[in-house]
Amino acid sequence: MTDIAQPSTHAAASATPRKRSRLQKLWQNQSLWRGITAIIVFLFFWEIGSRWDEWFGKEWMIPGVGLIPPPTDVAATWLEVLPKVGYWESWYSSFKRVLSGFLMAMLLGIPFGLLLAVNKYFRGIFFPPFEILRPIPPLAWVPASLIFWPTNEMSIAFITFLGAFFTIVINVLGGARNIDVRYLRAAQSMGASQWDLFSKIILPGTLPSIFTGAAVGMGITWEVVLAAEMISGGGTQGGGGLGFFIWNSYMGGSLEQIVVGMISVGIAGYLSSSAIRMIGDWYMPWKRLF
Amino acid sequence: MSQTAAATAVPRRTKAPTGMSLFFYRLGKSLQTPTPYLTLFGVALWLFTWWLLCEGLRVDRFDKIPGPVAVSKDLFSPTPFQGISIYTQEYYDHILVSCRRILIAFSIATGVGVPLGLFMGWSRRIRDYAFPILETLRPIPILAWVPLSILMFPGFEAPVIFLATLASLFVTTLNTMLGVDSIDEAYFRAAGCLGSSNWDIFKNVVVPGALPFIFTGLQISIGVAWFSLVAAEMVSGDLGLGYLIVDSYMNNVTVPMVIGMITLGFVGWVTSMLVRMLGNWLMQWHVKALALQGR
Amino acid sequence: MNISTPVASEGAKPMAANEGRGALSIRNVTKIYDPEGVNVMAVDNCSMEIAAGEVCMIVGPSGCGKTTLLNAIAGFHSITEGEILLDNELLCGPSKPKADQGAERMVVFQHGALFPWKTLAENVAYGPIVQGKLRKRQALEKASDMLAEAGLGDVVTKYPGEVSSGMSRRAEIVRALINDPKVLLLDEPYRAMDALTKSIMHESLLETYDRTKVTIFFITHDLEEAIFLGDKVHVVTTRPCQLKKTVEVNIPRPRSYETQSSEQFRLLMDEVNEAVHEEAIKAFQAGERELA
Repeated sequence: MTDIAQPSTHAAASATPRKRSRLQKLWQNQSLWRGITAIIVFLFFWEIGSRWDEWFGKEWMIPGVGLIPPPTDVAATWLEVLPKVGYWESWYSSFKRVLSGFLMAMLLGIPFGLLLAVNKYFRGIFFPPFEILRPIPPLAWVPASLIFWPTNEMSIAFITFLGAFFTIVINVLGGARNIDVRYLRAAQSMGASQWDLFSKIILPGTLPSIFTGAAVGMGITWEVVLAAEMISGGGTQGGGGLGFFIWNSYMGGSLEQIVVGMISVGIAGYLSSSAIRMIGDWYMPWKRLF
Repeated sequence: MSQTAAATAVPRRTKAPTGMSLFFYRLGKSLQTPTPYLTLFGVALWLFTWWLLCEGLRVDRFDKIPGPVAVSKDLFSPTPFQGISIYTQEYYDHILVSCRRILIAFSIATGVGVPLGLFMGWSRRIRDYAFPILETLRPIPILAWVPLSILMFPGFEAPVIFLATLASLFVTTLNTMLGVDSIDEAYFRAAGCLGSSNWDIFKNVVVPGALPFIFTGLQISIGVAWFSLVAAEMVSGDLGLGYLIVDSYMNNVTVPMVIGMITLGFVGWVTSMLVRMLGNWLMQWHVKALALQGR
Repeated sequence: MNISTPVASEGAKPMAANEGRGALSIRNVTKIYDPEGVNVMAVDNCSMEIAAGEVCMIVGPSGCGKTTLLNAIAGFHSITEGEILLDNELLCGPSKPKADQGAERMVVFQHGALFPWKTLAENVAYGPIVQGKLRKRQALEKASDMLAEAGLGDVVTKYPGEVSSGMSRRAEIVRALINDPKVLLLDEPYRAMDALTKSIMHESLLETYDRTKVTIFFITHDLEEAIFLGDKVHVVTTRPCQLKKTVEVNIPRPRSYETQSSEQFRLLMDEVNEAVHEEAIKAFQAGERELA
């Protein structure tokens, strides 16, 4: 028979934790290297694709891609634009619009969603009209709100609000309705009042959905602000913004600046959604474990 | 003896109603709850408020927006005051053009996004290479692509379709990938045990397992497609519902603008409904399991 | 090394196809996980011999590494040291840390892994179809026959989501058996069931075993289940998993539920209980989260 009694010599050695430093782990992360490789290859092909016609003549231009400026040119233009005040003013005004619309949507959307979830009659009456209006894309509201609101700025704020509002409400409603009944019953059996149920169970239980809704809503808000800036801003009375920056570059025929604007908006959007994620992590320590 | 008698008097379990009788049974049941009445009341209240603000009291600024009476008068009149009604050919032209664009964009996005997402979810390597590129491009709002796509593609049609495709491509790909992630490891193991080749696993585990997520993704994606289609049509377009809205605005006719908005909402709702129905039809197993859980 | 002696030979029937095959040797197996760079030893120098046609029950506290052992046999995980042999053929060892997955070792999973998107018949027919043993139509016919044999004739066209957990678990065992495996690996298959359903499942498994004499490697922490079903009960320690004690169950087969009230059964219970309880306390105090 096999000798079971053989002492396990390796046990002591390998049971001790073999810790690797964080840097070491990052270095050994295969996914990271693959990602970096992929992005470099992507930039490389983009560069070649858009320079093709420069090297081989106009008749060899690759349709579509050939018109996009190569990444090196974009980087150069970006460096040119960076120190300009106008560029940062665009950032500022876009951020201001996004934030105001978004905050308004949160402020009205969360209570509305919670009310829909908590009260059966409120839901019965107000949910159907909400569902009728929800499928209308927010941008379809642009002309109507331009007519309705006295200033361009107000109509941009309204559409921005609208875009995030529907998403937030739907998420809050879904989240609050999905709370496990057992939590409510447990709280009730411990003698919780209606207000306790609401503030101690329903509100924290809905938090994850609120943050999901906020993240999605933030994305939509950026889309809407950009569109509104392009459609209405037009430069006359709307105060610029990154959407206007892109549109202006388009009108001026500067392709490099269009791409710079696109990347800037991408960064701005990414920063906003990361901020929401961070706040979410901070507010919901119990979610971090998983 | 008495037990058997009772059993014959009240059948232990009745047969489930089907077809029309099921429909009437459900209708009868729901009429006993307050929900349908509340719904009617809610919609009526909303219409009344709209009417009161815009037409009844003609509150300042609201009076610039056409009310429900003006809109429905025009919508159902053979000789509409402001040019668009269900009797005019133009109305259907706009709808058809928009729907065709959506169909093309949605098909391309699904045809590319679903396989891409499946492979990204299935193979670590493909994900490692493709995901960073996708994640770099994704934060750029679709609307930021508008000028570039107008320059890149000739004509009215191609840029619009490109924008709608791009928007739904991201959503579809990501959801499909998450769908593959969501599949329980045990199914892969079971399939491996049973002697499946990689292709068998792909066909029998990856694809069906990801289907619920894929269809959730497709429903979002068609919404996003409409969203960007409208934007694109408003900026550059010659026809389509988005164009109808912005064109009416330019020409100071407000009723067709509202008709365009309502139609957009309705058509968008119908398309997402169709996607859901297709999903339910393809996923009988999912529907039945959910139904038994009482959802 | 004498592993070819069949243990349970008294009830040998002509259709017992598994006679003499399915002997499993686990020798000095060690498995170390290193999530986040911190090593966790799940299995430590564990050895056991399972004869062909034996019902081997592994009992130990939750999260002790039993499943790791099963996963190593099935080929889901690699092992760090040692070797595992099936009928004297090397499954995994120093030269080949991870076993190939194959239909001769069928797993029945803890939470069930019938494909929810296939009907019961399609699920059962899946193995023979993908292995190319049967055509689709024949496989489905055979699957329906086998399901009917297991008392599931009425629900062959239902999806797993539509039938009770007992039925679906039974179907899963049928799905394993249609492939004529050498070893059946069961990972706490009846964990989530109520006691009444469980006893029915036990009888049905015993009936299946008496018919096929397939080697069974069964993980559980239900002691009654272990003694009622098993030929041998291996008690293992809390993590890292080591063999602590082997209890021979010499209750004759075929067994029925009355067996559980016999004096012999009670004595065996006491014996196993004593060994397990100590480990359970240790495991509880360690309070580590179970590894997946």
